[in-house]
Amino acid sequence: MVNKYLKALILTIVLLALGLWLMNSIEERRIAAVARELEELSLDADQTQQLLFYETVFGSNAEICPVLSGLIGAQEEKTKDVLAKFEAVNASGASLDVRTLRRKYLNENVRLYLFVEKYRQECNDTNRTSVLYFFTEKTFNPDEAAQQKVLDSIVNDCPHVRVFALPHDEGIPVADVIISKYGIASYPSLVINGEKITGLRAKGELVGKLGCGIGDANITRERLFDQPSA
Amino acid sequence: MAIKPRTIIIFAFLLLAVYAVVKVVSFFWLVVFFNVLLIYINAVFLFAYFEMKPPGSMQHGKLPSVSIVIPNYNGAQTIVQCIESVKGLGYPSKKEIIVVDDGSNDSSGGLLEKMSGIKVIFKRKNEGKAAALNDGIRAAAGELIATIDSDTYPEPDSLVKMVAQFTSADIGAVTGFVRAANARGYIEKIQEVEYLISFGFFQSVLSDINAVFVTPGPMSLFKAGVLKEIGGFDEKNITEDMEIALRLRRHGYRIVTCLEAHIYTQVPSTMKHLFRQRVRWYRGKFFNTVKYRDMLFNPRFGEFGLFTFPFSVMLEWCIVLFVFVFIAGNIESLANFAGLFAAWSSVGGNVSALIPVTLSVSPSIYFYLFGVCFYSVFVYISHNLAGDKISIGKLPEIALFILAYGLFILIVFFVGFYREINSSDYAW
Repeated sequence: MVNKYLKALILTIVLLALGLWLMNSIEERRIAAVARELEELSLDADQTQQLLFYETVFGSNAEICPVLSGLIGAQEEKTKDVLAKFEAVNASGASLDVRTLRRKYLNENVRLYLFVEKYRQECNDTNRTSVLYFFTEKTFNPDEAAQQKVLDSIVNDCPHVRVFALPHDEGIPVADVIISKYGIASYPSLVINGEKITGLRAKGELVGKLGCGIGDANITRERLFDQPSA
Repeated sequence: MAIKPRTIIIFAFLLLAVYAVVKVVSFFWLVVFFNVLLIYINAVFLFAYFEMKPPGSMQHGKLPSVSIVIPNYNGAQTIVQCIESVKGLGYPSKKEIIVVDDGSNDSSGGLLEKMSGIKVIFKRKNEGKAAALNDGIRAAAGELIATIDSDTYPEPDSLVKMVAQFTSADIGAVTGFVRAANARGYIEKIQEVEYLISFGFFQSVLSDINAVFVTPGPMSLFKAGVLKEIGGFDEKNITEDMEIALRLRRHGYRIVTCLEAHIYTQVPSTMKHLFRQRVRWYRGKFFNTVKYRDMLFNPRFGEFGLFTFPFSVMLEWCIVLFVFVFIAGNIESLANFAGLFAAWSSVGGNVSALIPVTLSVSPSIYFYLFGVCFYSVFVYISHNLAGDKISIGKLPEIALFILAYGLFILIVFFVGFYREINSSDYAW
């Protein structure tokens, strides 16, 4: 009588261990892929920084603008890919700790925003419009979630618009300084062309401020996460 | 029926309790726990199957006389075929057929009056299947009594094979291999797979470890003296076939299964009918578990008392609790979604944009896959036991059974639990 119950217990323990190992391996592989892409993004950012430093040292920007444009474009694309992978990790309910990677990703995004702004100044690029979106990362706010949906929709329709999402509760110094600069006190908030807009806003109103048509191609967007983690 | 205050209190209490557990233990680990429990139970059955002894059978000098009792209520569509099948049962000793018409209001009465070679008891009032069976038992003269549903067609050699299983004095009943007679649509075909596993694999293992706890309604064979000794069927029970099996066990009788006796029965062909039948089974199990709770974890009843009965109850409770765990584990997400829905609607957002485009996969899926593997093995074994081949054409219903039927059972159990809590009525 005891035999089959013991055998079943041993098999159950083996399968439990196998299941946990399998799950962990798949999660680790997925997270390792995100880490790799973040590393590449960081290398691209270093190169962009070098180019901008070149401009500071030699005071010449004519030769670096085309290179900068390409590099920033590539960073924008990679940021999108990393975001998609992060969302997949979040959706899978991964039990491994990804907080460090998330912070790294947030930092890279803020750095990218600064690069884009610097590029616009140095290279007189008027084709890009940056939207700053201030939100809460650590807790859920339905208005923020709805605002993200509105911004997603705008980015899909307006190829010249880039949205940079800046969390106020992640302790990122540059983000905190920008929040202070614009006097942001409630969330969600937006800054479009230097104008602060607070509270949830409808697409029609924002599209009017951004002056974009509907149905353009070449979607570009940068944002942090669709849904903050619980 | 209106929701009673006690139902709201019990459901709210369970939800809060489970929510607290989810917060402490986490949704993931609770799902893993349910899967591990399922793996363990299935593993025990699998090892028990590999340790199974070949079933014995007795060569009777003179076979005992058999009375076949067929309760009928509005079974005009199947009763004639059923009686013809029963008449066709090959049995070299005395055999009588008693049909108890339980106050049918269809054309059953006329059909029965025209049939020869059977005794018919007409009841004016419909009193339920158990009462009809008891009327038949009282009128029966055989040493053995076979109870057969009016939509069941046993194979000609099934009776003689079942009788041969009465190899010792402590065997009170013998069950057969119940199979689906009308596997035409997918609803019936999925049940065909389910019956193969339940009455093939599981019932044979239960028989081997002396832990059978259902004498299936479609056809079971009892010693007449034992039936009379334990007082016949419980007329207030909606799953009288389970109740009598539990009572047999309580009186120290064994129930064995004869896999060679194939018994074909009509299975529900609509979701509504199937759902109603399964909710009734679940409520009957719930009721009988409470009635025979003293047998749970009781070593006097051997492996039945220590493993099969308590673990089957635990599994059903886990299934019901899983629904609460699922709700509790997602309650914050649901509240968040409701908030997002309201905010999104306030800015004129298109609701369809809120539907997720990608399915999220929980890590617990890997444990679910082990359950899928176990049931795949059970399907294979069951087909072998039945002497059936698994053709490519059968794969869709097997896949549906393994991958999707569990969800249906989960809903059945939850609704059954709700009805059990919310009402005091029992309808067959």
